[in-house]
Amino acid sequence: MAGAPRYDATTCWRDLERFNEGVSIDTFREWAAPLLASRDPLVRMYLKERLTELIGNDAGRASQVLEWTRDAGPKEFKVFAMALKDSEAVHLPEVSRKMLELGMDVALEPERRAGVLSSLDTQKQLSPDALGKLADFAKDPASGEAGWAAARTIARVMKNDHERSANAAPYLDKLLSIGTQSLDEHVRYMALSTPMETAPVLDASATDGFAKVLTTEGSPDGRGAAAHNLSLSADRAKVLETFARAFEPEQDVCVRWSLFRFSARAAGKDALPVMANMALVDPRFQPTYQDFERIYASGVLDFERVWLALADQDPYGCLHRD
Amino acid sequence: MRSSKSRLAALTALVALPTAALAYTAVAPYPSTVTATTYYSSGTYHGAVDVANSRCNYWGAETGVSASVRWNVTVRTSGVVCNGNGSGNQNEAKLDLGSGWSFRQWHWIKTSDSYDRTCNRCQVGNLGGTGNATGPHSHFQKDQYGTKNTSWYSSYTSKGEALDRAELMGYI
Amino acid sequence: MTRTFLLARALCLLTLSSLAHATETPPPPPALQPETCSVEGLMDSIRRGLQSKSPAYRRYLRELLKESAVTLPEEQLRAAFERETEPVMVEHLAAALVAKTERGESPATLQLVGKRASTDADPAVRAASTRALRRTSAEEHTGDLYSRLVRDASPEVRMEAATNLIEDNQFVYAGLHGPVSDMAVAAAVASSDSKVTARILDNISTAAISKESAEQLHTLLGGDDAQVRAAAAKALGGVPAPEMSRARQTLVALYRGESDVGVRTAILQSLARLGFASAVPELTALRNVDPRLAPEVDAWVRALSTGLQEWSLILREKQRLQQAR
Repeated sequence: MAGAPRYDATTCWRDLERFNEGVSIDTFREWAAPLLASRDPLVRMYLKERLTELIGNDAGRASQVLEWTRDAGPKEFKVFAMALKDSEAVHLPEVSRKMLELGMDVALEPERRAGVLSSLDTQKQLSPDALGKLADFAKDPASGEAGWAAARTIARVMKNDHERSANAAPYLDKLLSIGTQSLDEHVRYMALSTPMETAPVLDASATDGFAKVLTTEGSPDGRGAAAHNLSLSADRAKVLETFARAFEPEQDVCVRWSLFRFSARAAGKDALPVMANMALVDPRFQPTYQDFERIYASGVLDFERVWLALADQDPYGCLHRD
Repeated sequence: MRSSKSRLAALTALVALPTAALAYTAVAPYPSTVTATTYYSSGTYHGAVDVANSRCNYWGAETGVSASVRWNVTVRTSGVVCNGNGSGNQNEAKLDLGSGWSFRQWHWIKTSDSYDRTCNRCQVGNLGGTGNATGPHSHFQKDQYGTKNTSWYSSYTSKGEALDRAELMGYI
Repeated sequence: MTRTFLLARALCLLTLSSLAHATETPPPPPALQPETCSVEGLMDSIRRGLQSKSPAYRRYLRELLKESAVTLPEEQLRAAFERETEPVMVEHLAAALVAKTERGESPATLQLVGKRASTDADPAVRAASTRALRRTSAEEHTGDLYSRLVRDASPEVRMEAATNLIEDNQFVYAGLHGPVSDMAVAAAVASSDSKVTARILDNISTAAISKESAEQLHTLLGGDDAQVRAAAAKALGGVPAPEMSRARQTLVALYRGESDVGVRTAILQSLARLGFASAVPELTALRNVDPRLAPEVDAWVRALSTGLQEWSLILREKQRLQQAR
């Protein structure tokens, strides 16, 4: 068998300079057609960025591009939706409102709706109304992948808002409701796991909510994600107690591993007695316990460094379950 | 005394966490078809993206991040395996992203390029199916402190879509 | 009807009709045709594209040249680079030569750029070549290049080299690769420009540095320049476990004898980092040494009292707590 080509030759486009200088929002779709039809990822990224420039902060142009997303081919759609997402105009209330409406339009196929909703990921904040609509939509059994994207949008905007204003509570509340009420395991996992990107310190209400997930969620991955979030609760004592209580009845070794390692993230070396008890309940955790003990004894305190110092970050084979 | 609301409003330009500063583009390692996304998968919960091409040991498996980064390469299987040789035996290229975040690329076949390296889309092996696999593919997975993160996958690419080499899969 | 009115009406109609004409017949679409890329063709496009008002287009051209580097004839690329003297064009070509190495090819093309960064007669070209090495594997292939660049006669080159060391450390290696962190410390020490030394030490991760590098940080604490002492104090806060205890003792002792408020602020941060909750008594004991820093001590005590177990989160919460007060 002959060897595969190591590299693909790039494409240079004759007349692209004229395209760049002369293109307008009105001519973009027609002019860009041959480029969009090509198998050239580089020129497609250029088109996305150029379209973002053309949209600028103009609500009319943004609405025009949003209309294109209804009937665009798959590669075209990607360029249009991503250009919208990165535009200034996406922050104009009338634009974001229209995007939300289109994302929920049942006439569109689910994957397209997911893409439209994802164009809201760059919003600086969500109004209570928009947040409520996205959450209800994510919980709707008929929403499918679009519901999954809606949950992600809530999480992404939570991150944006939290960075700016330290505000996570209304988003966390909605993510918890999706994570406990959606019938789709993937949507629940999206809602339960994405707080890790914001790393908010949990208040009493969120702590109670995620603690409940440890005993009610059917999917082991979802229970593990809840333990991950709980490790940043403001009430460390309560979290340690919750983890200690949840360990023995928990039958899944991967969830036990979550409760074990996130005890350390919650309370540092003060968690070692709780972890020692867990290792008594399940002797498979003895070597891992000794590893944590060794690391803390060496003077390491920062959980990030504790994690890096572990002899094995996946001692129970939990990362890959095909 | 100011209200908590006005105090919150005053919180601007906060310290950027190391995680917030990093955003890399994850791209296809060879011409491929998306066979599983972090949303869709067959069987049990997957939480990762799979891309596949039937030409085992033909295509080079490029590291799927479009930036120069340091890859830790672990070879667990030395031979040519296309259809799986058991869980835990996958060859792995792993990228540490800081703050406990990692991005992993699995299942490739060992070649003379399979060693720790700093590069931008270099080949760390050939397309294969080492480890838990039913055919040649690449499995991409992101996690923080061992908890899978499924949100990195781009909503603009769908299951069954044909990807060109270096085409966008998502943002990590 | 007056003549003026008729003239105005005629002019108005003319304008309307030309506007209508303009809407009816937009300019014809460009004849976009895929072609094989060449070094000369790409260089021409870039030269013209530099005038474009579209950042997207300029970025595309730069990326296109870099992506093309692995399939363009290497000799032509090298020759164009060696011939070129305009800094902005040198930077584009240098980035392409570096990109070729980064795709897994030989380090020779990257090394060519490193050589020019350190030897070209024009400081603007040296600075441009240095920028082209940013966020790449350059530190693994260029020996003591960075220790030379931080001593360059041009302050611009020295500062560009510092930026490379900082950004490589963070974006290429996530602060976890000992050899490049050691190289950054060595370059900081080698530079006679205190701004460069301070900037490097202020911004790199020292999580994986060697015992020798830690030793050098201790030495810098005794220097004359307060900016350098502050940066060294901050860098000591992040050293590996075997170095933590000594760093903590040194910094506590130094705090009382130090008079510069910036250095003292850095020491407080490092004590917090080295001790987490166990640093609270230490910090409290230092509270009255310098009344100017009592609020800073209080802020650290509050942040550490949250019980968070990750340094990045403690830093974030400290800032939040301070801003919310």
